[in-house]
Amino acid sequence: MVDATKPNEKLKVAVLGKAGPCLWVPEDQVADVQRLLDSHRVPYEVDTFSMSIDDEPAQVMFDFDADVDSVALQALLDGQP
Amino acid sequence: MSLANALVTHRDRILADLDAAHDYYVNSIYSWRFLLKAITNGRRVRIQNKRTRNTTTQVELPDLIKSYVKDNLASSTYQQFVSLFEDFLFGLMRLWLQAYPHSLAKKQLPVSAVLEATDLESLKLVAVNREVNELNYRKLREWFAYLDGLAKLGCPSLDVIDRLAEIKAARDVHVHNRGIANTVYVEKSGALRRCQVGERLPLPEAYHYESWELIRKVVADVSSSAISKAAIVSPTVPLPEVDE
Repeated sequence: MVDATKPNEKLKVAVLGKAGPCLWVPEDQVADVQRLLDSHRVPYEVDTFSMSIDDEPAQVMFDFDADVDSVALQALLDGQP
Repeated sequence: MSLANALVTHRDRILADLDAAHDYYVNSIYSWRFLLKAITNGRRVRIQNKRTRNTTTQVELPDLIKSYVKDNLASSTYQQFVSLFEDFLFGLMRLWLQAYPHSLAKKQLPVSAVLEATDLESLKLVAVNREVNELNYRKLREWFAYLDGLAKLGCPSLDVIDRLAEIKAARDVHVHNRGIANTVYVEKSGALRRCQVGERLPLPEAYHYESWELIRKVVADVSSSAISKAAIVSPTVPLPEVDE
């Protein structure tokens, strides 16, 4: 799935520590990502707040449990336009 | 100051403090998220706590941040919301009793309190504080029964009082029992209990927000009703003490 605020970049899953992957999503794409995850029954928690750095478009963080496969998650996102 | 004006000031301070507490919660989460993002982008971090002699780096921080946000921060801010609710309710009752002290007419005071009082107003305040402090040890449902007997405000509803009782019981579990539900929690929460005895009592963001929102609404609604009633007769009260 392309980052709508940076057309040459894809949404990228970040893997840090043992706590499970996370994903930063532009605020306007949150509903699309939620639909995608819901349709594939991927459990997640999504912030109801957003953060903008250096006046860039605001982003929202999706948080996943440690047992969510980050590679499969990235493949799921890459399979979307 | 008229009772109505004192109630307005009291309400506004509590609502501002509730908003500040929730801003602290969200801003703290995003301060951690900001650090997480920097680590994602390859930044290296080293935090040295010279008091504990522990060092934390970008390797441990992602896991710690998750726990800090979900456990520590959620619990501490939740406790703050409930403390502000108590501050509101007891502050309101204190103001009301100072304006209408006749319900305390049959209460007894030690002679020492009378001897130490500089004037009638300060003696009245001693009586009011004793009454409110005693009430503090009773159950939340009794707080509202007392308030109803005092001012007949007609709110909040019994459903809302039940939700507040669960919120207060959950707060007690986080303050006194390291977040593990006990029999007191189950008994006080009734049908609204969110886990069984011995289980960890979670504070997910949605519940954390709903609790803050409910407390905020109760503060606003109870204040409105009290201000309307106070405005009809408009007795005066000594200026409330403001904690700096």
